[in-house]
Amino acid sequence: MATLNSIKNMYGICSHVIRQTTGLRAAKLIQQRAFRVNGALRQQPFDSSEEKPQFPGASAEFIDHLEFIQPNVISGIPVYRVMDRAGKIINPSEDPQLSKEQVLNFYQKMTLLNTMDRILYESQRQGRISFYMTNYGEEGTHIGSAAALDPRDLVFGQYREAGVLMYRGFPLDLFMAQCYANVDDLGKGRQMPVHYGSKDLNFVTISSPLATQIPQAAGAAYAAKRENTNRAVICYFGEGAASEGDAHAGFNFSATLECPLIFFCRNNGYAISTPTNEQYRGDGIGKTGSTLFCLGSRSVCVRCEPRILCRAVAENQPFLIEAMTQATRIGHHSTSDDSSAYRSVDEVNYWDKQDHPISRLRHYMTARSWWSEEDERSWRKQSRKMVMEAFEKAEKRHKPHPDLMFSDVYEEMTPNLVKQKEAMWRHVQQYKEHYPLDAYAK
Amino acid sequence: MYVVCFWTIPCCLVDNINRPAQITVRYERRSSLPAFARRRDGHFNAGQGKIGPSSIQGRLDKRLNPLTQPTVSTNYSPFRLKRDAVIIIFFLFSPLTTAMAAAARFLLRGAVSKAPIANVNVGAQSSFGITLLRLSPNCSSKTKTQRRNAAHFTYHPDPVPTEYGPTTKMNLFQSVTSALDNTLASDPTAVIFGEDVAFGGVFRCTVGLRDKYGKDRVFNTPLCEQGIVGFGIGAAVAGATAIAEIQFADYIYPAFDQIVNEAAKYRYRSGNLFDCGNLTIRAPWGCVGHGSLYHSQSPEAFFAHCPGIKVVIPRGPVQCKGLLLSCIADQNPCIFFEPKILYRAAVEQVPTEAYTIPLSQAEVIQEGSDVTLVAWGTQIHVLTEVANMAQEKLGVSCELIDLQTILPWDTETVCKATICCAPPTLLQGHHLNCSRGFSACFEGGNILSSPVGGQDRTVAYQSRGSNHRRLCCRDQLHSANHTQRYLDNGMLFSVGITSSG
Repeated sequence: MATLNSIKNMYGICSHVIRQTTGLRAAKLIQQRAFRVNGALRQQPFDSSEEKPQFPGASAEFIDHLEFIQPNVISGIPVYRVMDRAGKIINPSEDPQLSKEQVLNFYQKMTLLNTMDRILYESQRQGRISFYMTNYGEEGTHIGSAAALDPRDLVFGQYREAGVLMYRGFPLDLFMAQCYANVDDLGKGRQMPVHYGSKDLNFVTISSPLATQIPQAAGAAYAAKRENTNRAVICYFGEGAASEGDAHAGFNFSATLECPLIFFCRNNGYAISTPTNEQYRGDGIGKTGSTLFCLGSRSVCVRCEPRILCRAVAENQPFLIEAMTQATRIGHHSTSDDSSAYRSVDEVNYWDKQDHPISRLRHYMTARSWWSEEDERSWRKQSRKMVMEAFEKAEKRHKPHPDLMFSDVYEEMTPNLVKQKEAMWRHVQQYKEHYPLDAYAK
Repeated sequence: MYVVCFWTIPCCLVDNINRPAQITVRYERRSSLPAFARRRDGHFNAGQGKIGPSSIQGRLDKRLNPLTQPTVSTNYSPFRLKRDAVIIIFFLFSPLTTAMAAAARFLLRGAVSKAPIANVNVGAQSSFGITLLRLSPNCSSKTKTQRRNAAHFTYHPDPVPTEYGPTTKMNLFQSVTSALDNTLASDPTAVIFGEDVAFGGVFRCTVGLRDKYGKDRVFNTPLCEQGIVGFGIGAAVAGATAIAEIQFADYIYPAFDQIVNEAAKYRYRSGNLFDCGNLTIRAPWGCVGHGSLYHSQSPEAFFAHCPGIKVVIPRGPVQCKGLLLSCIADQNPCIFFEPKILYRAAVEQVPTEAYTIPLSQAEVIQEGSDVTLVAWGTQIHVLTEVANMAQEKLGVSCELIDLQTILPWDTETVCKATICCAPPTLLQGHHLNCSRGFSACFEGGNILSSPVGGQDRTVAYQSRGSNHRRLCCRDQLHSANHTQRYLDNGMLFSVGITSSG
């Protein structure tokens, strides 16, 4: 009963948001901000006189005949989109009215990410780095969602959100440093490639276990709410990770504890080889987050997100955005995967050639004469050059100092670790011909 | 050096060792079951309605010959002690002794223990039930002592601390409340959360805090341990001091991934860009006698091999408050296990102001020269008794060490104590099962290779013909029905001081 009610609420909110016009009343919303804690207050007070169910938490009516709630009684949550495949804005009133500089910035970041992906993927194939995960087809969601955020907002990612970091200004050198695990890596060379992190850019370091970041994001959002600095948190995950218990925990905690949090689900149709019809029933994960608002968005996420963000912070509510990212993950899951084993090459080619967010944005810009073929050629050359320079530089850098194996296990190095470090150095000294240290920082 | 694992009643010891010195151990045992419900397995005084002390020998006899009735205490001991045998008895925990503490609690609370009959006063149904029970001829509260089967141990309070300011009488859960109160007062980012903490907690550890500090700082979470710990990690990463409560240590396992894969590794994997050092996880821990499989567990062993977290277990209220405040202040994620059997049973004079007791420092509670006993939590009180008995009956001088921090543990103090005994022998006791228990660090390598006082004593230690044994309980779980038998084993070990062969 509570679920139905919140679905009703959800749709109320849904239609409200879509009706909103470009002139967002953001300022007003932030002023309305109230620090609400624990909806225990909202629970109906016990009153035995009323002819209504008095169960704790109930606010529904009695009925006298049995009704089954059919799974598709709500006929598929509609998917919100702003642009069609040709890059044309469908409803002019939904046009985000972004400036040329902003859109050019988006395009350049998206294509730079794409170029970096191609080069690093190849470098893994050549044995230069151990592992890589590309972001093909999802560049739009990364850049779009990052653009709507404030730089202070904390980002919890899963592993396919490099575009968010790129948009925020993470230099190519540091991307490469992490993938090569060299001395410049902020993570001190301890993790596999693509496990980026940046304190300055408020991007929490990626970890391999899936969905663990979701309840963490709820906790961080709660702490941010208590700080009272209008800071929000965004949490990215894939539709596969949304099956984890941690995801359900995160949704539930954020709703009951009223955290200003955006859950961003990148639904790209596959979790490695598992298609969505084996991952969940229904047309998206949105229905599982029944206490949250859900919509699907295409590449111009920046259209809807500022409104959602404002509401998240103003009302201390979590929101769920499920991005149906071009219906499929274009690349393989990672360099350890060959997706031709479980899907047709034609399917991938279709999305790559016909419905890629980069091409859609290019059509949008070309239509406004903001971008020409020549700009495209010269930018391609320039971005490739930038990536190659960073790449070559990163390859030549030293590896981090071996002492860094022992630090940061605890804040302070424990006596055991000190002894183990000394033992290691004694061993390395004794058998130095087996342990060449030239590649390591001194 | 050799390792021997005992996991059953030492029948073998009885057989192999000749009649030894005399140790008498008396334990109060009460039956709370009416006559018709008592088991007829000879373990209880079936059908006789007799309640009284039973000796270890009594129980041994029963095991050797199930038909033998337990005898009243005798001056008989199955164990022999050689004066030149030097052992380190290592007890993590004895379930029997915590059950004994439960009985102590019942005894102290007197009337409260008759709760099933006396104290229920809710509604017509229960008063009907009460009347029925009272009228039943077999179930009169007057004829038998209505106490549950439980064992007894004596709680040994710490001396009143003088260095931390004024003190007041507190039990263990009150010392937890006091520590949390101090934390919430001094740290505006501190938040306490978990299942049922808002109304005061199922063990009353957070009573009054919500009213005092607000709903946004002391709040309930949904029933989801992985969520509780995950939420705590996120809050800590964002800069808040997060104190998470897991309702029973038995339920900490859903959060195992978050603790081991995330909390422990946060700082290391991010290159110290991010950390969740502000996180402390608290959980009630250990046997009480009636907790059965899922309210009795001591899971510190699962976490003891996970670098990156700290695991701490106090023995009493003064230690509890100091160690908990240290865990909260420590910039590493900490798990703080609170022996639930001591929540009410342990009463001490505890300083009202905040104070800290350093982590990773074992405390030598009693000095000795012949044997070193190492334990933590409730077991310390059992071993205090054991040490006294050993001194009186056997003339053996025991050194008693409270490890306090299980991870990272204080190798130096234990090493020093061990080396000082000659010849050093290691006797490890597993609190639960033969196959579990935190003892790997003691298993030869770590202790032996730890340099003490700047010198590497490995060679010297080994050459002294050191022995290494493990004492533990059987590989079974806490069964409600068989707790007594399960606990018996533990207790027998706690008394056994055996030759190193």
